Amino acid sequence: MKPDSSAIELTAAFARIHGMLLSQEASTHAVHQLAQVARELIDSAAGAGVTLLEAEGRKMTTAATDRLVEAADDLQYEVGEGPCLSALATGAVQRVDDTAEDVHWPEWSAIARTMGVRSMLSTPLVVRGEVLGALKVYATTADAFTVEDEHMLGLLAGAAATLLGAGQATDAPQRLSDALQAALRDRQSVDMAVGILMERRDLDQDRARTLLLEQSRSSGQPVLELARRVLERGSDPFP
Amino acid sequence: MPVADEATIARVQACGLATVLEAAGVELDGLWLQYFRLGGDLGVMEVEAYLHHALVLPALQRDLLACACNELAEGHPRRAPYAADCSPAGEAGAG
Repeated sequence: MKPDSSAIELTAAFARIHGMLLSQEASTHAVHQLAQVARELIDSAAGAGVTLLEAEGRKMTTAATDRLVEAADDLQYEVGEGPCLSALATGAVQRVDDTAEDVHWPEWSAIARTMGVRSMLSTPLVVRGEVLGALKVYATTADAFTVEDEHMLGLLAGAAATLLGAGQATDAPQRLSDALQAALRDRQSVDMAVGILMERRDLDQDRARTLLLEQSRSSGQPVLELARRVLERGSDPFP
Repeated sequence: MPVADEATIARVQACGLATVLEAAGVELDGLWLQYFRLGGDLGVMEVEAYLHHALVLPALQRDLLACACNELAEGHPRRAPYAADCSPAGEAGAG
């Protein structure tokens, strides 16, 4: 499926939450980790932030990798408009390619531009079936974020919501960041192994991924194990 | 010999997948996270729509879901089918 055709579906694609409530402390740590991961994951991001509104008592938990994200967020609440507010309201990804030319949030964009924010991507974060937050990245250059970045941020938000929902209340803080990091590392290992296969055997991406699946089936080895062997050995564990 | 079309193959795969998920007690969330680890590109809602035959997914994504399911349901006697399992004998697996 084309990334740009499913941005809305992807950002709404969160697993059902199994009735877990995060304590304030757990929530703060979890969103901080999530913001860090988002900034690392999206190459062109200068900073990232997370806003999470809690259903109980409507407290707001926020995390940001730097002050500029905080300021850009505060600004939205001050002027009553902005990409994150729209993401919250619509449940859809919002993207600003250039605050110097944006017409969707003119008041916010004009000020954000003077603050140094040129590009922004904001993805809704859905907890317990409701849009209760946003995951955002910004850049100091225009047109910094691609359709692929939008896609990846949406997937990240989905994984985070799944893990937020599936975690146990007692050990939630570390569990989210560990589980999220582990899931991303696994995915990246597979991606890298696929890249090696593409190169080695002159295959396109789909064909290389299919080869990995076929080899997993015939050898009985899990895909991740095969992927790691491709990466570790440097030689081809395939027949 | 009639060749099964993509929608039919997808339906068969989705049926097989749903059966194994239920029998092995694998939840949609768990399936999706494993599928994500394996490089799957679609969101939970697409996966859920596929399971309910409301959406036909590309063969690679269907096979990734089958693989994710089978890895999670390891030891279970039934396996979720791949596209190649559902094509007539002798036909190359969908890429």
